[in-house]
Amino acid sequence: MELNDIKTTWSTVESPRVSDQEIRDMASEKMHPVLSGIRKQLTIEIIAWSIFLICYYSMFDGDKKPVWINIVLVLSVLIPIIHNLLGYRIAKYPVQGTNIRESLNRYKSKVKVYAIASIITRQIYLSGFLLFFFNGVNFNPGKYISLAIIISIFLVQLFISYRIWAKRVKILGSALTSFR
Amino acid sequence: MDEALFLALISEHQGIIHKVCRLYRDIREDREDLFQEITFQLWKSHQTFKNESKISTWIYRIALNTAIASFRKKKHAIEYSPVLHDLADEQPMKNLPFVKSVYSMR
Repeated sequence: MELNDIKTTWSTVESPRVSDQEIRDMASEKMHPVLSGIRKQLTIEIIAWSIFLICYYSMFDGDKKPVWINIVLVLSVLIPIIHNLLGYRIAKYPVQGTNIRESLNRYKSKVKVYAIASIITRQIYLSGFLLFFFNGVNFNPGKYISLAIIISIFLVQLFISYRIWAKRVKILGSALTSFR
Repeated sequence: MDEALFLALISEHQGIIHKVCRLYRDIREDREDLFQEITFQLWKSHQTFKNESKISTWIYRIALNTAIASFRKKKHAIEYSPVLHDLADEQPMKNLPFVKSVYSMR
């Protein structure tokens, strides 16, 4: 019978052995493959954006632009960084609840909220930069075309971002359905 | 549960984690990464283990949960069957994705 075959295969398949020292190392957050990647990316982003924020005022004539435009630019940089830090926390704690269905339900809700926030913060980030760099520009047909191209690229990115998150939420939904 | 007990339990039941990794990941490096993620989650959750179920059940639950929650593209091996089945009922059980995954563990 097929089910017995599956049970036999599950029970008898040989697995590699991992030593106690390796297991101890794996329990450390530093060694986590996904979290260490996110930490590296966050570190690079924070350093790069900090340098940008220190230098932009003189390099990109921030002193010649209205104060509110400078505030929008700073927020456009800070909000995505804060959002990424929250994402790190979600990635660190995917298991919550006393059973798989409850845990996946909670995780799916968090991912949905994070997905919406991700798309919104990306648009805030892009819009803030557009607003800053196009402020005070005397538009001519060429610049209007450039602006239209940039906005088109933003919209394509928005669509791709939406598709990626929708797919992830769908995968979680499918997994949840299989537990019913 | 202290660290020494945790290590002993994981060492004893690591077969469960390896089997879940083989079910959910196709490439050896991805399986090793998933094993590491699962071990990390087990350590993070070990204080919540209340002895209300068997330790193996708890490990299996966390392992499965972690495997499902982590986003990776699972690549299925493409197989061409010489016979096309008109109805799903006619499809042999061994062609179903989950069953294929179990057989691929051999």
